[in-house]
Amino acid sequence: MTKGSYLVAMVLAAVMVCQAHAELTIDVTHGVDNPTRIAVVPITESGSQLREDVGAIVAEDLRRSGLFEPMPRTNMLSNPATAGEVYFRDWRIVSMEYVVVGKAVRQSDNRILVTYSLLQVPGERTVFTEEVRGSDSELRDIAHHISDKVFETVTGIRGVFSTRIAYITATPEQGQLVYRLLVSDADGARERLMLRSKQPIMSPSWSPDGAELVYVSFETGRPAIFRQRLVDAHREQVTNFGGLNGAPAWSPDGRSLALVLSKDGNPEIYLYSMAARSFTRLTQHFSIDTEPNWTPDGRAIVFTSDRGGSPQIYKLTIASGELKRLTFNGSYNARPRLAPDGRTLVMVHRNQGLFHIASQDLVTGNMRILTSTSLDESPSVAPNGAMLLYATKVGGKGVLAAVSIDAGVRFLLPSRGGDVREPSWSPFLK
Amino acid sequence: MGKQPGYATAVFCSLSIHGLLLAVVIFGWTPQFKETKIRPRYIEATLLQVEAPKLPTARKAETKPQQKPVPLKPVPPKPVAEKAVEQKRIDEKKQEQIKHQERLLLEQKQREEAVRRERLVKEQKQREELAKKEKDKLERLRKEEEARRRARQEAAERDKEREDELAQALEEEQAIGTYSDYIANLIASNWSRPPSARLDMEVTLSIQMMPTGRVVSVAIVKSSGNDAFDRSAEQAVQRVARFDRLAELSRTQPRVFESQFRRFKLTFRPEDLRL
Amino acid sequence: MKRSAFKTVFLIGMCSLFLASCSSKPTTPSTSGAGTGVSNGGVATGSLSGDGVRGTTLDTSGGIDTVFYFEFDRAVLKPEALAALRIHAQRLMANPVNVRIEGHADERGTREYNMALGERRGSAVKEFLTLQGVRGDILEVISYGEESPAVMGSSEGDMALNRRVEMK
Repeated sequence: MTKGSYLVAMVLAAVMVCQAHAELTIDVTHGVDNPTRIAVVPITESGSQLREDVGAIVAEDLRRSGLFEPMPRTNMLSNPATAGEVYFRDWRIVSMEYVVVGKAVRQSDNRILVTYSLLQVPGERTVFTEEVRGSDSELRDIAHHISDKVFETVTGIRGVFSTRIAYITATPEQGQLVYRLLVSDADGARERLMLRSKQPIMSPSWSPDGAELVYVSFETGRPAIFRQRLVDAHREQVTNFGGLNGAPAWSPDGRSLALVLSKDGNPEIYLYSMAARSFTRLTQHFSIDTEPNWTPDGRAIVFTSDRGGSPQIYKLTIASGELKRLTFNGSYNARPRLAPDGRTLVMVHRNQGLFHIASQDLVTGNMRILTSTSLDESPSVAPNGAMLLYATKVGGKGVLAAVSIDAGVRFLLPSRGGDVREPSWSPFLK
Repeated sequence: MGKQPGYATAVFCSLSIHGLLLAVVIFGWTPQFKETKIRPRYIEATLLQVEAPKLPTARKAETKPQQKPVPLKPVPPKPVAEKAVEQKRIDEKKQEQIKHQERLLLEQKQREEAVRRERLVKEQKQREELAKKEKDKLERLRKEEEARRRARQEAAERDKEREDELAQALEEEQAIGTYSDYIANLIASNWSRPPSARLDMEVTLSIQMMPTGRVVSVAIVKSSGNDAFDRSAEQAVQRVARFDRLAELSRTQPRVFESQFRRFKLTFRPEDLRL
Repeated sequence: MKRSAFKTVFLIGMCSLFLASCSSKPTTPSTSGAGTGVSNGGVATGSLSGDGVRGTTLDTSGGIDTVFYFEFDRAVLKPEALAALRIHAQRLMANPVNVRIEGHADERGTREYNMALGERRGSAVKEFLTLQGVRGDILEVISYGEESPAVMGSSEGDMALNRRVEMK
């Protein structure tokens, strides 16, 4: 008996060790979410500066995303231009996780060829190498392209550095406010004027292909909705009804606009079909219904309504007419914008008399206040859903700011003259 | 203040209900176990009483002798003749008849007696048999119980032996746990997840180590499907690069190091993300 | 009615478009590799028809109020506004001229929601005047929301001056 059990015990122990030997798996269930440490080595044309400092633009793009911590150039021990020239030890010493190196070569057609690589320092390997071509005037585009590629590789999220933003400025000129509709790169550079008017311009919004803007202009003496192409500035007036003509929002399929008209007595949301040039009324209520925004699938709109006594956000499914209230937290939730995942709703939320940007997870219902200033408005989500732009006041002046959708990073966009307001992030451009 | 009496009764009620429940649980459960064991005995006992009602057969035996004399009674006496011979013959016959009757009666009595005795013997036998059966049963149960007790004792002894035998294995297990935690913590503090990481993602890496604690190789065994996520896990291991305490383990418990940490797997499964 | 109005406005739009296309320098983007779509986009700098439409015939003699103020998030006329509005009503009944009733809001709250709020304020004035007997078709409510503040600044006093309806 005892001998038997001894044997069993021996066999058992052996089995355990064997199993453990084959199976030892350690679970890692937590982590840290520090910005990724990256070094973007200057990209030059065999030592001489390009018209634009491509490396600096890339580093700045990545820094502004909040997910990267680019290394200051002055701390770099070497300036390799190709993957082969990289001594990983130089970068391991300064705890870099990634290094970007690249070089520019002017070709016979005077265009510039940039060859760049992303290298992983701890793994001591090249993640990828790519060639990009462009003219001198496209160097910023080349830089943003590199930023997008590096960002997507490291984070798994598509970069938005090659996208644009539209916004409105109001500047006092000779005792009168002058309004401008402007478009710039996502980093605020290369600002382009779309429209200048002595009457207010408001509510700019992009077409899903990024080729057109739709907005409200008072140039006729009353609010009216216009659409305008970016490439040739071609304009067309869409509405001219009595009362409100506002809050245009392009449908994801590009075929219609959701907009607000008060021609029938009070603000209601209508659907405007581009092809048929016809209007279909979507809401029927004596209260204020405004600020429509589409769900990514184009089947429903979310909008602001004070039908419950205070402005709150509702969702209307177009085909079925089904109406659902989405916000219940606080007495002022307005101007909804949905992230591309269709799950995260961002809005203007009043908390203790102050207006903040808040996000709400439509699955869990959890609301989060993302900003800490007091007059935050006009949230606009980036096409990758990772960040949003909004307008706020600094020193009594309107400025644009960005915040990551998890509130981890906030920064102000470079300030321009006058009051900047109503940022609208473009879709992905191609 | 006014609430207190209500509160007290409520508490009392609740307590008594709970007590009752506890009682039911305790007394309702343990007897159940006993009953299953004892029940066969009860059944046997009732069977004892039921078996005695072999009475119906006994009653039959009793009624039989009563029925038998009945046909004898109706035998009518023959009419007496005038002749002496006749008379004598008749007398003789009578005598014979009487004798015969007496004999019959005696025979009957003897038969009845035999039957009664037989019955008594039978009953006695039955009683004895049942008693024996009962005794056997008890004996068997006692033996079984004893066997069980012995088995338990032996099992306990075996366990003790096994415990002794496994003490070392357990110690090794403990070491494995300690060093696994050390590795998991060190990697966690070096694992910077990409923003595309989600709660349901999982990547498994195979790690190969030197006895110096240095990582020799990292390979993805099972991808999460998200390259950035996979790479972040690889980066975490490569950033640690050297697990100093494993060097110490390879010196103090080389068997554990060789069997467990020379090559192991790491599963990255974030639980602290929002989505 | 609406159609002809649309036509005039569309003509204005076309004019500005003409101006716009004159001053714009559409550069065809030469894209390859990283070169993304628009390089220098369209530039429209037409100074659009200036100051818009204004009703200039409103009789303001005797220094009668033409601006009426409101409480925060409210569209209810204050008692002090009623006297002036009654005089306006009498004059407009005697001499019907087209009047613009411009509703405004302070900077708190979202811009399009404030457009709706400005319209509510303008409608309150229009409703009062029509109840006095003024013809509805000479009164046009136009909301400017928070887009055209009377004063810059974010103090309580500044914002009180911006929550208003102006008759023009």
